[in-house]
Amino acid sequence: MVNLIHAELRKLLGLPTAWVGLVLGLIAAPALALLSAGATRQAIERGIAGDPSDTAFQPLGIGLLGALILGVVAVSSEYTSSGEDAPGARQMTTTLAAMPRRYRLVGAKAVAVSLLVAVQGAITAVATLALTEMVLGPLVPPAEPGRAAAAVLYWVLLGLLAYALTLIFRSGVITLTVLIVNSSVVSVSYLLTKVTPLAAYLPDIVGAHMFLNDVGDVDIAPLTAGLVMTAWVAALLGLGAWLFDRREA
Amino acid sequence: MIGALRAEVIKLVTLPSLRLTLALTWAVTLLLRLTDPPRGVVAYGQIGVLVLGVLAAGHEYQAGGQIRASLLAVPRRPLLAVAKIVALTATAAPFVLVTALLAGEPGATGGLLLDLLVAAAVGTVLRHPVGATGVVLTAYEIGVPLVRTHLPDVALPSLPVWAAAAIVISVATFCRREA
Repeated sequence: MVNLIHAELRKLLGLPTAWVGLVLGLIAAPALALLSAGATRQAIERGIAGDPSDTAFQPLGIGLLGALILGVVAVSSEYTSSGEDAPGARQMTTTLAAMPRRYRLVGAKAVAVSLLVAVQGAITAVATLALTEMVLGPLVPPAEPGRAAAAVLYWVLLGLLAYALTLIFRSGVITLTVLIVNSSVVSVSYLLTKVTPLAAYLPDIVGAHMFLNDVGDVDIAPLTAGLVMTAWVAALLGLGAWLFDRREA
Repeated sequence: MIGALRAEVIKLVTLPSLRLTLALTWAVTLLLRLTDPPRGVVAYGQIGVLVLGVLAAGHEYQAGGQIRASLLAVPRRPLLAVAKIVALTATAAPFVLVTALLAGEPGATGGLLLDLLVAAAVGTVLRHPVGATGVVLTAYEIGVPLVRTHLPDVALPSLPVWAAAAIVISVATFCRREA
């Protein structure tokens, strides 16, 4: 299993797109914290910023695009044809020849994605929180380590969610479209919360409750949110692994 | 020119991925109209149009490298680039109009067409549908709204300017780069 994880990590780190995801995730949140510092300070001074302890954590919700990309390319790269002139030849064929037990392969990939995203999320969280502390100073309360850890966990779970969805759809375009749109201002999940309050328990919305106090209109305790999100990810990963086991590669 | 145009139109109308994207876009647009979203339904139809543009431009670079067959048939690159853009605009216009009608805002057709051309230009430059989808959607749905809310002083160029710049860059890269 250790060899397998090692192999998956090396494959993932050999992909240019994975590096785009890694760097994007590392840069986006601190950059946003710096760029929006002026507007945020004004908002806090005018008292329209909502919960001030959320301020430092808000940029982290944007940076997790990098985690999404990592989760997607871990699967989509395997299905891309490896040579221009041999459209049928795919990395997946080689991978399965080396590791025919498919459930173990799915597990190893999940561990590789989680490890990378956890490291990325931890570095980004520390950098973003330190930067916010530096530029906003006494305007925001000091960040609690527990919430920072929850934010990193949220990153890992979203990376795994992207991984599971790509396993199910076998297409990076669909997963990326769904997840990017849902983390933006025209989020379909958010729209559904206006229709039924139950939609607040959809995986991409409930996870934010783990480290933010002000999300939408529904209040969910951080622990409940974490459990619900973990259950979603586990279920989708199970479905993805089962489909992967049954389907021809 | 006519021959190149015809070939490009045939390629576009026979691709299953484009039909699927269009069908999904229409279905989602119709469904979302029921919920009456605060930002209007066009914002959601726009997502489908962007994916459509990326796939329409990127499909020739996928497995098999069809772009080399196209260039063998039409070696003059500026001609092929222009034919591609004209064919995409002409073929997509009626479908985009239907999308706008389904969203209840026929006036949005022009804007959606320009969005389509921007997405196609990004797809041509990046040559990788998954990467291009990520870039286009991130820029449209996260980047631009972020700049608008957090940096209201920065003036963003209007859509026609964007589209023209994107098309010029994509044609220039297409003509200069090894396929």
